Amino acid sequence: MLEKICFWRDRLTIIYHSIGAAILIPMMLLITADVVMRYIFSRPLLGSQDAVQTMTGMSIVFGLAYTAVVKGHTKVDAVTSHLPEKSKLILQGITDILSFGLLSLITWQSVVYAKEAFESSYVTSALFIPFYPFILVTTIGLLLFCFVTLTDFIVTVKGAVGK
Amino acid sequence: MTPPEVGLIGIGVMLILLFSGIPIAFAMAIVGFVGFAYLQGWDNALFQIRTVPFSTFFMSYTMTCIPMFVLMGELAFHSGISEELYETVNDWLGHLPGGLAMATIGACSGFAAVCGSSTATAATMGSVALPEMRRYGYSKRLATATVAAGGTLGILIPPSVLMIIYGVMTETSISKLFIAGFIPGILQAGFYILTIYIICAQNPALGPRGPKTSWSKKISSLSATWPVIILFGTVMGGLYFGVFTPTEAGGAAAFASFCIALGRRKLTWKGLVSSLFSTVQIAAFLFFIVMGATLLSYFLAVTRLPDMLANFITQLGLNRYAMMAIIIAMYLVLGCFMEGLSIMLVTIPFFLPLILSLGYDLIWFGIIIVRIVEIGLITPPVGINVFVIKGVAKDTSMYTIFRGIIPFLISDIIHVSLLLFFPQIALMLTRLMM
Repeated sequence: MLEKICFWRDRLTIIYHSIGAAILIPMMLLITADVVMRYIFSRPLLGSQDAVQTMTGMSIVFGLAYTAVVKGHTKVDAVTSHLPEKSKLILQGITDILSFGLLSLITWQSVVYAKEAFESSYVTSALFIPFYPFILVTTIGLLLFCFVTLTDFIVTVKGAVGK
Repeated sequence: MTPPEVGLIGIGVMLILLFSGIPIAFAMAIVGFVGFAYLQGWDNALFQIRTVPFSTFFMSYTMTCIPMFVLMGELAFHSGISEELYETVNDWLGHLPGGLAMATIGACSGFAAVCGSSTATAATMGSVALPEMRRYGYSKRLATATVAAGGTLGILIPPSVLMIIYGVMTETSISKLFIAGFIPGILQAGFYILTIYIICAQNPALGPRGPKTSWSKKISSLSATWPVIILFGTVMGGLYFGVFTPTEAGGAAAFASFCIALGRRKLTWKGLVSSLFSTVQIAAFLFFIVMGATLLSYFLAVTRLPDMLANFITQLGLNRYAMMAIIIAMYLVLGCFMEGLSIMLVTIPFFLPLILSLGYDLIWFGIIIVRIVEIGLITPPVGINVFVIKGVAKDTSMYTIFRGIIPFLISDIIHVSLLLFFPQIALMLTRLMM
């Protein structure tokens, strides 16, 4: 059961990550087009800064979960790498649950923030695009990240119990 | 408990968390959040974690250059630039004693000019240069140490991801940081080449001469350097002459890298997907770590610990050079146990008020920090570049690689001393900027 959940979790994170990766191409083209329009035609693209910031943010939040799946979030393992396997798993379980706790709080607050942004009509500075859809996108990215840390915790506990 | 006491406990807890193997971003964020909640109340702490992630991911225009510079390097890697660079420098230097090792340093410098990461430079050049040096009978010690040390050039020669993060944290100009890293980077490469020359002059068996190349082949091999010249010229020229912001330079250079890769017919669909995937992965980890550092810095600010540290050290009455020596010594020690980015993110909020009160230039300090962090990449026990090279050269022991690195470390100490006593080495180009 757990293996199946992890399999579908990994699939989902890859889909998310692919969306984040695909965003980079229009972002690169937009920045280049803005530079060309400004220097050659003296007509910079209105709101390109807003758009680039938004695209960067989307790309990042879509990539957070898969980065966690492939253990891409850097850690210091100078001490833990020398510990016996069982101690290592116990320590990892503690750090997994701490990470999950923090991420749950951040995700919950992200929902609250989206609601606030919706009610108070926060918008971007140049294009006046509402913020709340992007905060919701952030929430979705964080939710998946949360799920990855939770499943990691369960896998770790299962591994420690089995030892 | 007073706020500074809470700050000290927070730092202690963070170090415990860091060494317990939790991702660095989480260690900083947890301590930042809990500490802030203790001092400023639960509601204020919740407000921080409500707004900081979104503002880090979506509202920092300066940081938008990170994915673009990473993408440029990834595309350059997939278009085979590293192999051709190595062959070119090899044609010019390969016939000298230790020439292949010198060529490795030259190629590392060239690749560093299109890549902002030291580990990526070490991994890339390791896979290209190590088999070649083996083929010509180079000692394992010299060959592996050369690539590990040469790889560190990745974060000093611009563009550099570490400099971008430093620029964001200290609100200094990223363009100026990039320009300031250029001469020290070239000088470091020169020092490494000199080190190899001295090693091989004493014991030529360590790095036998390669075959001689005719002048016509040498000249024609230079054609392989044009992609690097175009990419580096786009970034540095654009920044130096004030044509681009760092984000625009990154975007334009990523686009140029994409066109070069397509034009050379080296970029496969798999290579493009891999470049985009790696870019998002690296950017996600970097942005998340900056989010953690931001939460930590808010907590430290309310503890007033950084200001107290600055006042305390100032009252010691030491001169500014002695204080800088203490700071550098601390960084060197930390570099033995922690990865460079985390050292920078944890320590900058502490040292910034001190550096400002001592009257040091923040651009110059940025170069010094990046340089010291580079040294941490090759010092035991946590020399990340050494681990990377060990991954490529599986039959070489860590001990052998670390032993080979000693002469490069001596060269590093001389190089850092020069930068310390002659700040103009780093700053002269920035003073001429438009």
